[in-house]
Order: sequence, then structure tokens, then C-alpha cells
Amino acid sequence: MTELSPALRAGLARLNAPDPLERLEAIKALELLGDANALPGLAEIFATDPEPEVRERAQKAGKTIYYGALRRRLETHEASDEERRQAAEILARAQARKTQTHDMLKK
Amino acid sequence: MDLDDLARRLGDPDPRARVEALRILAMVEETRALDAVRWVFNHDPEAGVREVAEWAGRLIFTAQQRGYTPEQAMEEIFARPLPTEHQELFLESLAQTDLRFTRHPRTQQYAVDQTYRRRLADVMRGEETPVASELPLLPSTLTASLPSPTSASEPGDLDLLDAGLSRHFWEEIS
Repeated sequence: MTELSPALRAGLARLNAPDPLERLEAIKALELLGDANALPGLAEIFATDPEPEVRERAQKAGKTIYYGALRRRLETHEASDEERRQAAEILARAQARKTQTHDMLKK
Repeated sequence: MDLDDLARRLGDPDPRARVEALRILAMVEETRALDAVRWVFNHDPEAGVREVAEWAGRLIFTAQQRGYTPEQAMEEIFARPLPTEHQELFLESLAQTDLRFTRHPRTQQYAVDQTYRRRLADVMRGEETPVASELPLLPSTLTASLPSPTSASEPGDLDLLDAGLSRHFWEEIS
């Protein structure tokens, strides 16, 4: 079983806090950590938390962690040439969008 | 934890592990797992697990209907700007960092770029008079190795993206 870091353990524990603001802070912290071991805890919050904002935030954090890991995997030699080509296309589109936004702001 | 891991967990003998995997797949709207989730809904021996599979399947199906894909998910994550409070914290941390001890040249390059952009934004808002000497200086040995805007070996799009820069960066600093 994977050893959880102290920061991760603390963040997961705070997901059970009675205060929704504290749960939101815990979710933000887990997102910044980016550890995939946080996904089960975030998924439980997504499925069961009584606050819609907390559920939405948990989903956003979960997607960031999950698809961030997928992106990293595509960037390593584990990925096939086709996957790397797809990743390059996605990154190029994202960069084009950033550049477009930058141009709009300059006008 | 990737799709393969989650697919394996859908067949775990522990129903709690299967529920956990279904919740994760639903949360990240993993449309590639729709068939597997449907199979769990149709075949799982536990009623509770089938119920979660039905809930997860609905969410993932809805995502699929609106055209959501892992590629779109990654595009959204890359294009998402850093929240304002995170930007401020990051820039403050750079001000406290002695760049001589930051070894990675792209990190230093990014730090200079971000500081420059922040100063420029302040000047344009009329909040600050530009003082070029306040920009963090790179060690002279490093500047010699950085590509110049007119160099033949201009960084590619992926290099720039990794450094958090855009092609306009070279125009702005020239």
C-alpha cells in the first residue's frame, strides 16, 4: 500500500470537517498537492457532500489531478508515438488559446 | 491512478473498492469507461454497487452527449489561468527567492518574465513607475546560455508552454 505523505493525510482528514469552508480549503490544498491518492477522498466528497459548491470544487480538483497525471504520462517515454502526437496537438491548441487571449487583452 | 487502474478496481472483490472506482470515474467524467460502467450495472452481484454504477453511468453518459473527451479535459486544464490569489503568492515567493540558487534556466526565465509582466501591468494601471533595476537579474553565466529572440534555435511551442511563456515574450523583451 502506498505511504501517504503527512500533507496528504492532513488534507484528507480535513475533508471530513463540519465547516464547508474548511472542506473547500482542504480540496484546494489537495489539488495543489496533485497526488492521485487524493482521488478516492475527493470522489466521496463529489458523491456525498451536502454543499453543491463543495461537490463542484471537488470535481474540478479531481479532474485536475487525474488529467494532469494523464498529461504527464503522455509526456514521458511510456506513451506511444500516437499518444505523444495527440498530446502535442492538445498543447499547441491550448497555447494558441493563451496567445489569442493575450492578443485580445492587448487591444 | 489511471484508467487501467480504475478498470481493474471495477472487478475488485471488495464492493467498497468497486464503488470507489465508480465514483472516481463519474467525478472525472471518464467517457472511455462508459462501457465498463454499464457492464458493472448489468452484472455486479451487489445492489448497492449497481445503484452507484447507474448514477455514474448517467453522469458519464451526459458528459459523452455534450462531447466531453479526455482531450477536452486536458485542454481545459492547460488553458485555465492560475487563480489570482495563487498568482500573487507565486510572485511573492519569487521576490523572496534568490535566483542565483534556482538552477533550472527555464524557471529563472519564467520568473523574470512573470515579474516583468506584473510590473508592466502595474505601470499600465498607473500604480507604479517602472524601474528597470528592480527586475531580478540572472547570473551572467546563465544569460549567456539563454536563447536570444533572434537566435536560430528559437524554442518550440512546447518549450515555451513548459516555461509558461508565449511567443510574444520575445517581442516584449526585445
